Amino acid sequence: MRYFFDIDDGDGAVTDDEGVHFRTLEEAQAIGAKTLASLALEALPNGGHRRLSLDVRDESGRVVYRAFLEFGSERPG
Amino acid sequence: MAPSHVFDAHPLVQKLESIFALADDEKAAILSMPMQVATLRADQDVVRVGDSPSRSCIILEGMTATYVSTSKGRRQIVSFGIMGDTPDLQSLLLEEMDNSLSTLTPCTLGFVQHAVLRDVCTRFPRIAAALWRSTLVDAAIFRAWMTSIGQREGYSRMAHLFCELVARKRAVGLVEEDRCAFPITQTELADALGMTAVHVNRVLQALRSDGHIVLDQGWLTVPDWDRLVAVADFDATYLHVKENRPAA
Repeated sequence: MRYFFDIDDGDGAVTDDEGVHFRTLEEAQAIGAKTLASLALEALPNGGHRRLSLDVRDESGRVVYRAFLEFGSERPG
Repeated sequence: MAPSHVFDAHPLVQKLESIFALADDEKAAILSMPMQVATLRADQDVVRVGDSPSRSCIILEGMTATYVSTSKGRRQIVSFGIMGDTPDLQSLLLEEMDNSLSTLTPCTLGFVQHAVLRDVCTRFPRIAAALWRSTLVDAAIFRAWMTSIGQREGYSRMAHLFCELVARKRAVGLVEEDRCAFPITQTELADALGMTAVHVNRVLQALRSDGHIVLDQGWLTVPDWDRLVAVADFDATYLHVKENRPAA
């Protein structure tokens, strides 16, 4: 089954036109979540606040999974 | 003795000549090594961890992947082999395989018995030196991959791999007009780059839309080599390709 991963890493959303093949939705979810975390590693140094989000669409175009990661920071005092 | 260009058609001669100048009698010795030629389908293991082979292979055609699997079944591809490479030459001196080797595409492999390789290396010490140099370059490639995986972000990490493969293929005459075969799947790229397939897919689309690469039905074109090199932070020194080698 092909799944499409639309990702916004905080610098703007990118629509996935190609998709990636996974055997199950669970596998697509797990890899999607891991991808979000690894993109956060690359994106975090830019600023004190960032929200990364992910929509997974199936072949019919329906969003079957949605995830986000939010980073916030402050200097207290 | 046959004319020099006959020797140069042998993939191993072509590979070694790209990094080490061989004399005609040395090329003839390589050419005369008995070789068992086998055709393999894609995704077939050639040797596995724990094997103790009595022969090593030369890639005559196609691409291979050298890989290690963790106990959880996760695969790290540690290098890609192209025409002329000897991806399991280490078994000549290290009895037990500590990595596996599989075909990435349909491959034609030439298997040479270790006894034959030992004999050729004894009679022609410069062939031994050339093979040594080749394994040292392989080690340099491992260092470059380690640096990329540890220190480069996905975008330049992938660009670096593209640069490396193009440079290696160019050295053995597999690049024509900035275009070469690129049969590596996204899953294989993911396993080589330490990225998820989804991340690979995203970075590939970005590299394409930024105009750094064109991928079309298994063929890679690099429209502007210098731009890709800059993006990849690529310095080809570690491949130690000889300049001014004779044209293939």
